[in-house]
Amino acid sequence: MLEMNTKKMINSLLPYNSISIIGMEKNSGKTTTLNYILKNLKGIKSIGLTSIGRDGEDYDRVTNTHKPRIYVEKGSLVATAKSLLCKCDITKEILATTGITTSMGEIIIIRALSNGFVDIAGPSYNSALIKVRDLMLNFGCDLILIDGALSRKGSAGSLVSEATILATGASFSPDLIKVIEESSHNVKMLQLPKCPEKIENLSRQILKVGKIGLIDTELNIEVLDLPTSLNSYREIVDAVKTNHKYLVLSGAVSKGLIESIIQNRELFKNFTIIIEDGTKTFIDSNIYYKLSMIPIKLEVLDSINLLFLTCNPTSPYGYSFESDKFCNLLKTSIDIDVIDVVGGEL
Amino acid sequence: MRYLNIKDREKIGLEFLINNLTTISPYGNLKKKDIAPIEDIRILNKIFDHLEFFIKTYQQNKRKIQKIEILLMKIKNISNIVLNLQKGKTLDEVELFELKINTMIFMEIKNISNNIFLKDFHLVDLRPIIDILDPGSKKIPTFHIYNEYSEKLKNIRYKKAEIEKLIFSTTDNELQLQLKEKRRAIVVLENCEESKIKIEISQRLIPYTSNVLIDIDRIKDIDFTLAKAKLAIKYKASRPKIGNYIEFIGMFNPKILETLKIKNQEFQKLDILLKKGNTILTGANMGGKSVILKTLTLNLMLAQMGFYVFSDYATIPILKFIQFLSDDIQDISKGLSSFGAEIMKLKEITGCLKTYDKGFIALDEFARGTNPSEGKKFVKGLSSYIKNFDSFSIMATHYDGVVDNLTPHYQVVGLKNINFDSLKRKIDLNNQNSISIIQKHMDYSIEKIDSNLEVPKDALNVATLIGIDENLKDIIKNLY
Repeated sequence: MLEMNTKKMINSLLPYNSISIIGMEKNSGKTTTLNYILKNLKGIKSIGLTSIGRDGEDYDRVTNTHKPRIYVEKGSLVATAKSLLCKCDITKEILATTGITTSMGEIIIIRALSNGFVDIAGPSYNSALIKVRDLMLNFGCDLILIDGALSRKGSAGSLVSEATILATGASFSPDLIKVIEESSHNVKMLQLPKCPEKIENLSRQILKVGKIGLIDTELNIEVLDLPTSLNSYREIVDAVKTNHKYLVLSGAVSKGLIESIIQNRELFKNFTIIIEDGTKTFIDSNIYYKLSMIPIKLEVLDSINLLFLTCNPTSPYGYSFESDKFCNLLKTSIDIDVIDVVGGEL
Repeated sequence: MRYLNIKDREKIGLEFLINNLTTISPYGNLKKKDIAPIEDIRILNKIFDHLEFFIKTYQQNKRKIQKIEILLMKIKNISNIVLNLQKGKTLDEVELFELKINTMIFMEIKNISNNIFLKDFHLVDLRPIIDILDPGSKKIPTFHIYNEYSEKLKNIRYKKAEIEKLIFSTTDNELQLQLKEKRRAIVVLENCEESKIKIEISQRLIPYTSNVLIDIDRIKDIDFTLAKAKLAIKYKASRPKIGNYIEFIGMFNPKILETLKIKNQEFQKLDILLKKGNTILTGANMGGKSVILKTLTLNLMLAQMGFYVFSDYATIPILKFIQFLSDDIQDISKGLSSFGAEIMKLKEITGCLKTYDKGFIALDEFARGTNPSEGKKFVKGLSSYIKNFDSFSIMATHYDGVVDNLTPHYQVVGLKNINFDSLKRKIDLNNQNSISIIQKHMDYSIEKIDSNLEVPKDALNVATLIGIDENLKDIIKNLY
């Protein structure tokens, strides 16, 4: 079993300039994870903080409880929408206006002149997020933490952040086994293997001109003239010939497409599906299992550097798992480090 | 629209040119969308003086100008912030930040530009604003509600920091909650004091707002005039003289010049003189009559908008309207045929003539949408009608005999001096490129000819060169 302590966790963060934290579900303890990291990096790294879009409301309607808020140390940088500045109770120094606008106003970069709570809504698309990240690095930050909002796993893409932390917690489901299964499945998705370089180059060629393509055993490429894979199951299945070996897809891999592939399993036997990165899948563990039975492999163009999984055994819905049991079960089903961010180190 | 509508501006290539003006700041970009023709000769001459000076300065102070351009890139549009402030609105931190940063940039520009530009472009001093927004004279391009603004604020923040230290060092959850509650109360005090200060600073800034607006205007002018200067330098454009006739020597069209450059061809520069009244332009098919009309109209528009013109030498009159009737006029959206649309346009033109008297009208193949015998009468009639006004007009036409002895007549040289048979043989050898071979041999220059000379009958020749069925050609030939 893997041993993980706070020091080791901190050390694993040190080599990176940008790390994203993504959550499996609402209330999976993402903010708790962020606060845990912020607290432990105090004085070690000069932090810049932002998010992709905004993660819900500060008041949880279901549980009638306030969600935890992010607490930053003096000296940290924060990039957030202008209308949320009044909700940040730090003493603020305005460093830059970015020209990036969101529904909550322009993204402003501020420096915390005191400790305090901040409310963050960053840019909602990746290219703007990259711009904000680089601006904060230029202001002297040496680690940018990106709060990857609910179901926007895109911020974990290697273009945006060099490393990723996944947060899971009891809030996902009261069924402990289900939480374990889906967590380990998510880890698997984020850790999908990178495809061989030759295939990567061909796939990038395909994605330069189209959205969907096929590569055959002789390494010939064929680009399908389809706008997206979302509703084009029939066309994709029709285009597949016996000597095809790879299916290259840009954007999200939808359940519907995978189901129609499963229905035509004979055609896709020994196929490899290439996707951009592990954030682009929306396939649950059940379907993934069916795919692997055909067998179909999933590979990515950009692998995600998943550092560790954090778990929050307490659900705001009023139940909690036994921390030791929860963490130990996670550790046995996942081959990366697991940290309990509520109970401290394990 | 007295000076061409949007569609015609696009057709003659004016929109293209203006969109490609390299203004840098948001103010310059706004100015680009708002260029109006000038009818006051003194103002126009002054604008040309400025432009002449900028062109000279640009070439002599390239490095300084580059520095100014880098600063212009950093500018954001703060007009609304300043106007709101002037109306008495209290600015928030972000707005105060924008005001501070931008006035700092303005002053950096001022340090360079006031030494090299004319007095009309000098920026006024905004130091007092920077002093208010940088109470500690730190000269750092950031802003916050500084402790220097109020002793009370300083004390509140000190207390806040003390409590935060306690919160950090406490492990007792209960105590930590209590401390956080206490901190919350202090944050409220901090916010109140900050609000008070924002009101105070905003009040103190109001007297300087008109100076910021002056500088915004000057920066707009600097940016815009620099862009015009760069355009003039790029194409070796020249300052037009203001007179009472139209003359261009060595006129060219920058857009077509660029296209030809790619093909390794040159634009054949044009010389043209227009006196009051009508001038006729004839010439072979594919001879570029439309291009001439467009280029002429473009240059007249530009001159009147305070740009240098694309010509080695030019004289232009101040015009009260400029109208262009293009050869592809048609308004299907209004259900008009080409002739219907032409007559609608003609109504607009005669309206301008009657109201403003002095203007310029270019007509490309007017009345081509109706039968030639009537069309000819329309052209002839319009030609003598225009003589009653103090205006200039030029008509490109295919019709014979519309010109009387007194009307000046220009003709595109075209294929006049070409040996048809040898050109035809060349084309037969290389059938694919007939059009480009014709274009290569076409003489696009124009010459003034005796008014009585006939309109060239090159249609059949050009058609033969491009390739026409032999039998059909013979039939047509027999009809000549």
